[in-house]
Amino acid sequence: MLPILGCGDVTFPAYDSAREYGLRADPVFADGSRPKNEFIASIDPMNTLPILDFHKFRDPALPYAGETEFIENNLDKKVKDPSKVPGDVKTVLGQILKEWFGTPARPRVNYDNLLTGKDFDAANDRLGFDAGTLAKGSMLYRVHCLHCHGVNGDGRGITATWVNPHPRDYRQMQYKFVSLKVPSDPNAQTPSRKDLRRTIEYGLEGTSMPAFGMLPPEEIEALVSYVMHLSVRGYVEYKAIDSLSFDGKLLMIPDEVKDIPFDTADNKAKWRTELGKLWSDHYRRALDRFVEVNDPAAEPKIAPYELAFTPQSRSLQEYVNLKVKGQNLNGAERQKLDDGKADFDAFAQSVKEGYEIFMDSKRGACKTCHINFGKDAKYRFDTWGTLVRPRDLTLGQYRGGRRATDLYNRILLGIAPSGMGAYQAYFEKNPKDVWKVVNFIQLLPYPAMLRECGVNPIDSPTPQPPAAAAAQ
Amino acid sequence: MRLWWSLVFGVTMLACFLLVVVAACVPSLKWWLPDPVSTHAHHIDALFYLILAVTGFFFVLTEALLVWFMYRYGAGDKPATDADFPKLFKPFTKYLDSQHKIELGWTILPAAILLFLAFFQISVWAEAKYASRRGEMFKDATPLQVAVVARQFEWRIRYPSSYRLEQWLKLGKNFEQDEDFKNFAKVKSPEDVESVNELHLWKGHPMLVQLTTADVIHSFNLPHFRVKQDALPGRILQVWFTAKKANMTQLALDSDAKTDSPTDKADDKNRWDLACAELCGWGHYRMVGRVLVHETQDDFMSWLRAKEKEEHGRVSAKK
Repeated sequence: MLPILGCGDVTFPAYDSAREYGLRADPVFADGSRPKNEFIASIDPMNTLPILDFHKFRDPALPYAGETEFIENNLDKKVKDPSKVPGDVKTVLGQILKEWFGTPARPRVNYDNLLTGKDFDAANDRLGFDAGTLAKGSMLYRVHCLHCHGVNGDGRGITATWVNPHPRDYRQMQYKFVSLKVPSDPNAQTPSRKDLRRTIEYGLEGTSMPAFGMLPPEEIEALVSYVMHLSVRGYVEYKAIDSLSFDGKLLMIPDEVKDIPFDTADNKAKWRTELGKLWSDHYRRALDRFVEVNDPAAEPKIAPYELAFTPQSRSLQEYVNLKVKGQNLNGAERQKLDDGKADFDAFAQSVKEGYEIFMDSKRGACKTCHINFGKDAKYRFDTWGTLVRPRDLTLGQYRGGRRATDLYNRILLGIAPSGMGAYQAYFEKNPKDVWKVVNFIQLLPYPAMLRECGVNPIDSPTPQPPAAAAAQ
Repeated sequence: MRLWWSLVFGVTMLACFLLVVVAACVPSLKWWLPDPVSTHAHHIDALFYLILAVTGFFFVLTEALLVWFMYRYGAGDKPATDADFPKLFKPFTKYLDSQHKIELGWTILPAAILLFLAFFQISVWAEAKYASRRGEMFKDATPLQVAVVARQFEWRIRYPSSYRLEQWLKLGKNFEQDEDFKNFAKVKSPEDVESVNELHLWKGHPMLVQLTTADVIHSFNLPHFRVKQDALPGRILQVWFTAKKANMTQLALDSDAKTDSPTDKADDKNRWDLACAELCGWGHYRMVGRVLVHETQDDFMSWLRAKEKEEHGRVSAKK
């Protein structure tokens, strides 16, 4: 029993050695091409995943009307059907992926020649892709993650259709909760090992991802490595399929093999070499991104902000309660109220400024998507074709973590796959302003406190001028 | 044939009995009750042993008779005749039918034993579960109050802020009247501290758990503390207990304390699980948390403050 509970050096049965990852079958959307049109729709009903069975997507019974239309109009351009990849190329892709990434029972990352020109050992260390770690990660993944996230990390495990939000599909190297940008490519967001570890350890509140923090640290590390491995594999596969065009002929086929038929063993080997060369660029890119974000020098620098009200000194809650009590205070309570006034006023000021940034359409403009603080936010498609909506911030439930620093990161870096923009540029000059927004957001579930800070938590087109708040 | 059947029954029953004896006598196997670490655990255990003794005695008695009769008086392949009947009982055979008094006897005796157990256990049950009696366990102190929300499949535990907790502890036994204390389970505060799967408390101080669930029924089970309570959707149930041993012998007090890997901190031999005892399929058995009992209140407060800093601090939490 004890080994099952995750203590001691446990082993579980590994995958059948004949099993392979299998090639992608769901549509490939070119980067960022999914429609982002907002519309009100019901959430994905039980037992359906966002399309993604090409044979069904014209079924009017499916609730993805908006996206179905998009696919119809963009087929073979922005949207590609992997089943149309010519058999020869598919074979080559399968062989190359197997050679590079192994099988679920023996995962590997075959990248020695891709990290040239870099400090190989350091990069290797940051990636944690050695065979032992990956094998361990694969074994643990099979026990803890597979049933939701699927064998190849496609987010289509057996329970996936029954949970909403649906489990993450790792294959495009897209992740929601990151704490830094890829230094060499500000548009790409890749989680560091630390980000992934945090998600595994703490789970995601409000989703079906539970916390796995009770697993020994080395098992969590192995899982992180394996998820990264699936991600890199999926990314190469996705990019390879995306770089092909299927309207009858193939584009992006290297000139060297364009005119060579895929028949004899020699010719086949040529195809493999040439396509391998072509696709190894994506491989290198994926590895680079993970190496870069795990560089200790890339650690994000968070602008510190000393909060006047720290839980250690006095309770905001208590202060507000005293304030509300107003006239009926006894001597000691009145003293307390007076003592905290300066601190409280400073805090209230920051909340108010945060509110203004949130509401002002020329500044943060958070309200454009978080309509009525997210209560009336509209559904939209995310990168994976799932229906999502900007968070209802009045619930006090934050999927990316409830720490103040988590909220800071969400505001600064956005949640790219679901369409939340990054506000790094906006806050560049006054990084401390982010904290003001954080202060405001953290009080949003507590309207009585907001009121005491001089913010009237009613969606209004312009912030209330301070004079009006004081007059109330 | 009768030898065969009596052997089958005899060996099986003997094996069961021996297994129980081995489990009880060899603690290193961890087949018996885990270490009792709460103040009321020994009462629960005493009750367990009493019931075990009563049922064990009758189990052995009835099984021994069954096997012996099977072997000694079994008819084998031939149909039974009067001659097979024990000579000793022969004079009484005519009395063996329609004996209401004997039947009455073996109905009333077990009923009496059950009634005895039912009344005998009331005080133990009351100690562990009656809100009117919990003052005895709390000993005029304000308990450490936390809110536990079970969900598929983890425990989310919410603590008051250190400041608020200190205010509560000053209340003494008057905590039942305090509005702020009473509201904690239902009303969240922006200053609350949350942990996942980690239940912290300190030695010798009562803990009051406000238990509920976000989805299905779960069962909050602390085997070492002899605490078990189902968590029901839509209801907040209270559970209380006091730890009499600590398993967090040392704690990094600085703010860099890794709050991420509780397994590192608790001594593995003293690992006390927070298990889900709900017998309902996949997932529940895996939602294991840890109970981490600090030596002193100061240790606990240091942990709470570090956690607060990590959660509410406006600078990067180092790792």
